[in-house]
Amino acid sequence: MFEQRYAILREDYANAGKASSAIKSALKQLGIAPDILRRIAVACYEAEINLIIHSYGGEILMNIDEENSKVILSFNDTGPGIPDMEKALTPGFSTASATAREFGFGAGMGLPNIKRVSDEFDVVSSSEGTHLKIGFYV
Amino acid sequence: MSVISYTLHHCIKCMHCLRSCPTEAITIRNERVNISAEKCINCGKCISGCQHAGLTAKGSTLVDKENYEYSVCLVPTSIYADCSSLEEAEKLNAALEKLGFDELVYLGEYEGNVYSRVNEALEKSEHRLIISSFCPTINRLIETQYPMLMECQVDFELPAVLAAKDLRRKYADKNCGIFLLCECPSKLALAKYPYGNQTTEIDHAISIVDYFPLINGLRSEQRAPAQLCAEGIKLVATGLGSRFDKQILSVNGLDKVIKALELAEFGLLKEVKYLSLSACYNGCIGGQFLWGNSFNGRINMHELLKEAKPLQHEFSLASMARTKENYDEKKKSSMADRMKRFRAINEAFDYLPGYDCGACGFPSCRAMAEAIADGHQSIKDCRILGKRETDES
Repeated sequence: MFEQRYAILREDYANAGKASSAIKSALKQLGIAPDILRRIAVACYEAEINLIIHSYGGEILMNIDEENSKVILSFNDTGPGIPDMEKALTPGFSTASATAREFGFGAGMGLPNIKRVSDEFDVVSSSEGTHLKIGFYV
Repeated sequence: MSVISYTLHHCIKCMHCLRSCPTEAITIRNERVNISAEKCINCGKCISGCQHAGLTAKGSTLVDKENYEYSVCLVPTSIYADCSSLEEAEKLNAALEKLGFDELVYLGEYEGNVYSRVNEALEKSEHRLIISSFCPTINRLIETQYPMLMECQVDFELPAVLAAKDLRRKYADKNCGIFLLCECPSKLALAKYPYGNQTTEIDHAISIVDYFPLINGLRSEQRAPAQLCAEGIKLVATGLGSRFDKQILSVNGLDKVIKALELAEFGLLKEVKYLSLSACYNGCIGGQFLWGNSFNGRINMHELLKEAKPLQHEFSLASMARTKENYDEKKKSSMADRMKRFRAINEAFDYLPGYDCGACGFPSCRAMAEAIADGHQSIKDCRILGKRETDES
């Protein structure tokens, strides 16, 4: 199992997308097929932006499970948690701040989109933090 | 395939080329510049980045036409970027006619057809994002660095290639040599000679700048009719950027193109339906092999547009299709092998300082890490780590 960590800071809009770019280039180097890589890139970017906008900060963990030919991305933050998971999974629902919207984020498609493009999707959330884990068969 | 050649005795090992290459194709090994034929996209950034004329791209010579019974020269519309009036364009044409080819074929009609057909395709398309480029550099950039976006590319052949195919059919019974005047290094790669592209009907590529003194000397008060096609001028001067109605984004300049492609890969160009890309500023009239500058060129093209005729005949869509190379799935070594190399690269990368200083002869620590993983270099070749070791002892 190969593992790599990327730290994400709260409201760090200036660096939004950098971790996703690094993950994308790494997986390109590994030679993941373009159609799968496209889904990974889209999901990873959405989730990274979620961390920046909504969370107190956290990290992205990229795991490559060679035995099961799987790329697993985990997004772990330290709170404040998603109060209503059902709503968060509804397309168009958003709690993004005015600042986030000024930057063009917060259309409310984040989690539903991530779920749609990933092969495995798991999210647990409490006030201690949200843990999103998505998997892709490669 | 790379059309860039290196002259050792001009080189002072300053590493400007190393830093100017957008695809990390250049490395310096044993005090010599190496250009990876696999990674090079023939953008010519290293040629302009080199302060000592150590890197060049040369085409075929006019002498090569003696090998053929009949010779034809393809003339791109961008060559007129230097002409501020119809009169000047006609004088240039008279000079071109004196170069000694049996026939000159102006690419205007072909460029115009491509322009109007892409526009038609755009009207009909339901696709989310279409990317088109009539720049071989951009097409190669997408194939080598952005394979995710290959499915978005439109399948139109380049105007010069279409013209060459037509001529080959027309003169099938003759030993006919087809020459192309090139406005930039990337077009040199379209011909069989001098760089060995085997899949083309264009025999020789000639760099315009090499023959600029000759063409200039041949210019006189004599004139020959100019065949200017309005749609052709629009294609070479603006891509499709002159239109502002159909969610079109025209991006020119390689640095900006790379930015746009990065965003497109994340699906972030949601509002853009059509992306028209060109590696040079101001499109083909910004080609390195043209004299004059592309800013005046744009004004000149605007003047010539007033004199140009609309498209004369339309080609059938089927004849314009481009045969795309398939993405080769990373030469399909097994996942286990690829993973092994990937691990080795990342291990070496973690160990390297991450300064991307280039002193080892590789453009970045990651490129160096790749070379270490492949066994071409060792971690000892890193100058920074070496310096630290001597400082400590």
